[in-house]
Amino acid sequence: MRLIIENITMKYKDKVAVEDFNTELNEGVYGFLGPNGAGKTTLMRVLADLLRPTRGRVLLDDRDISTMGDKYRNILGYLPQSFGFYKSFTAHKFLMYIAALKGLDKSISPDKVEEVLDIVNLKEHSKRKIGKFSGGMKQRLGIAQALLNDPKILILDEPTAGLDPKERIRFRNLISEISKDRIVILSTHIVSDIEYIAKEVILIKDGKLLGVDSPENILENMKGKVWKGIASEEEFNSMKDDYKISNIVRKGKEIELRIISKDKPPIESIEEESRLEDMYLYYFDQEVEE
Amino acid sequence: MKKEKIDFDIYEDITENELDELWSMMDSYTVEYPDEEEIDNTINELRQYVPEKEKEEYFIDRFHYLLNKSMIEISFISKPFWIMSFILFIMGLITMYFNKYINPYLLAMVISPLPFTFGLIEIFKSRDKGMMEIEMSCKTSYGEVLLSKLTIIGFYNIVLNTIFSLIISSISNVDFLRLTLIWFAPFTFISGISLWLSMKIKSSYTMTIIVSIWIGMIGTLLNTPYELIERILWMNITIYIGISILGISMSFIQIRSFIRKNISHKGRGLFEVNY
Amino acid sequence: MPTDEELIEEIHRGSQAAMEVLVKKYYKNIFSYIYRKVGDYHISYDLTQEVFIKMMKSIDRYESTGKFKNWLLKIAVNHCNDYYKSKSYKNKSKETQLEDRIGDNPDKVWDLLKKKIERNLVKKAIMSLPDYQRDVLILRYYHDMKLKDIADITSSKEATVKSRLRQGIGKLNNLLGGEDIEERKNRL
Repeated sequence: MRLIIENITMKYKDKVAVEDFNTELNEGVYGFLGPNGAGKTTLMRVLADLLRPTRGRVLLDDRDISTMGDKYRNILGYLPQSFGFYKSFTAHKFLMYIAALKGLDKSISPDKVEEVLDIVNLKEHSKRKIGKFSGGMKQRLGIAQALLNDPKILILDEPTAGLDPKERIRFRNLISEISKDRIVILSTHIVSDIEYIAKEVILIKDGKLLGVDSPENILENMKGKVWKGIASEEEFNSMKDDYKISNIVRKGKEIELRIISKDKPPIESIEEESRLEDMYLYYFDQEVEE
Repeated sequence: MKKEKIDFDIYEDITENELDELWSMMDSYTVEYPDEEEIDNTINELRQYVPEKEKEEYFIDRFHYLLNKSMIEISFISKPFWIMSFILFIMGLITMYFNKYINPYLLAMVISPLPFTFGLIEIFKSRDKGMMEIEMSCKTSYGEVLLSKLTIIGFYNIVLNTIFSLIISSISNVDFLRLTLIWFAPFTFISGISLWLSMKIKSSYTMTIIVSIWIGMIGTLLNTPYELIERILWMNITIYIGISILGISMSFIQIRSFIRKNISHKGRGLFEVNY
Repeated sequence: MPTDEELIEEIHRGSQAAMEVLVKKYYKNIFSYIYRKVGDYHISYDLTQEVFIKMMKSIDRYESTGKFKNWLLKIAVNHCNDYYKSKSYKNKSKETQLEDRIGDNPDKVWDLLKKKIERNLVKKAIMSLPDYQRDVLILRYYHDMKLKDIADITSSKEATVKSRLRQGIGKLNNLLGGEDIEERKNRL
């Protein structure tokens, strides 16, 4: 399977949400990483064939997905960034409903529903009304519906929003388990979501593709750009506007800094091993969110 | 080169001679076109965008397909809708039973359009509750979902109204055909208007607005001399038929444009507005 | 020869042949517009293909007004404008050569050479106009469109089209007028 994103541009009036986006995806996990408002959601909607781009197209094995109609939707699983539920439905009923819309055979729907409920750890809440669910539970239910039809292409827009750390780990394991023979596309602004599972990280900023690379290569590129050093209050003050500082630990009068910089900072410092988070700071020039 | 000089008056500062010269120079800007093979490559690339040859599809097949989808939707439509609509007609019958002086035509007319406005909430539920994006990504197209819900709710309404008319015409001395026309006209007309409004605002607001206006209108009507009501109820039946046709076409146009704009053409409208 | 509307009807019904006829009918028209607008053969080839893809994708929205050509040109105009605003243009424009190669064969016939030089001069001059003036000029001169239709295609008023045409021609005359080729070359 090969999914090609070709010259995708999305304009709303004069605002450009996605600009000239080109990349190619195969089986495996792709992490679309970028700050909020970078155009990730627009891109996800285009990939899910919910929005028609101003320019460009998406090709699945050389076929434009917009001409495939229900053939594409049949192999698609999609989790929107934000969504609501019918609160009076139970989790079970909701999934039965989506299973019907996905065209699943009535004879297999109940088993399939049980299966996905189990995957997202909601089995014991299956008969509870969604109105009583917590945010994290709703999010997991959202993930469950995307999995119902065994999608070959799974698009998850900010799937870890609202999940607690334990659930996040569970989610990561799930994704890497199922990604063998599927294209999994997930967008996030949280580096740790994709650090260990993404085949490739796709960096997006202001609707543009900043770069595509494997996490290993990204880390390799970051080598020699991460420093640890001790600074006095004075030195810290003179540095903090010119340097990207990813961590600050106060130790008495001295401050231990983790600095992202191409060149050695002007204080006594040693090279540190790089992490994907450093890359985020390096490219996006803003605080790492967690 | 004469053709370009039609608008010679546009070029104020240029003499006719200069213009002639300029035109002939511009002629030298030729275009090097792709050869046949390259054009054919483009044509081959375009083949996938030609719609697939339509299968011979009979109306009955389509109807059957829609009916199938509708059967699925039925079990997911909320109980309060079924019950509320039903109760409304029971109340109508009770009123009839205890108040022998009430005009059965008027009663049928007043009640008929109300259940459909309740149904709007069901029809547009996924949009109003933020479920639409998920539903749109499913195999069954969102347009089909919308149409099936519309079919069920329309059908249920017609059945309830018909049963109501049958009962009324059997207990009091009224003309069944006339009664049917009298409820059918406001039913279709108000359905059309409320669909139109639903495209623009949340359907629960639509329901509130339409129901209040309708009740308000009926209230005003009851306070006017009885002759007016008589005249409305005894209009030429072609007028009722006309109103019905207007209402049906309005509903049809609304639904079609909604599906075209938001679903077939994948416009942004549905994501832009937060209902 | 079937009309455009008939061809579109056929396409709706799934006819590949009708699509072929329709595309072949308008291919050169669209290509020449785009070529004169962007000035690069390969980009023009790609953009032309994209315009026809767009045409196919939105053909069900075409309302038979009998002016299919205008409708198609409008797609081309908008598409080129989108392209100009895009990143790939900004990257490519640095390297795009405006002057086409004069050809490898040492054809020394002066007339031919002069023609080619002249062609490149005109091309350079047209390319130096701002987008909106270039559009109007190309459509008016090379496509022989009425001002009213140009206004429709470029989504502007007829008066605007007129003034753009006037300004464009004025500029071209300044750039291209006169006899001496060398001198004109220097002006550009």
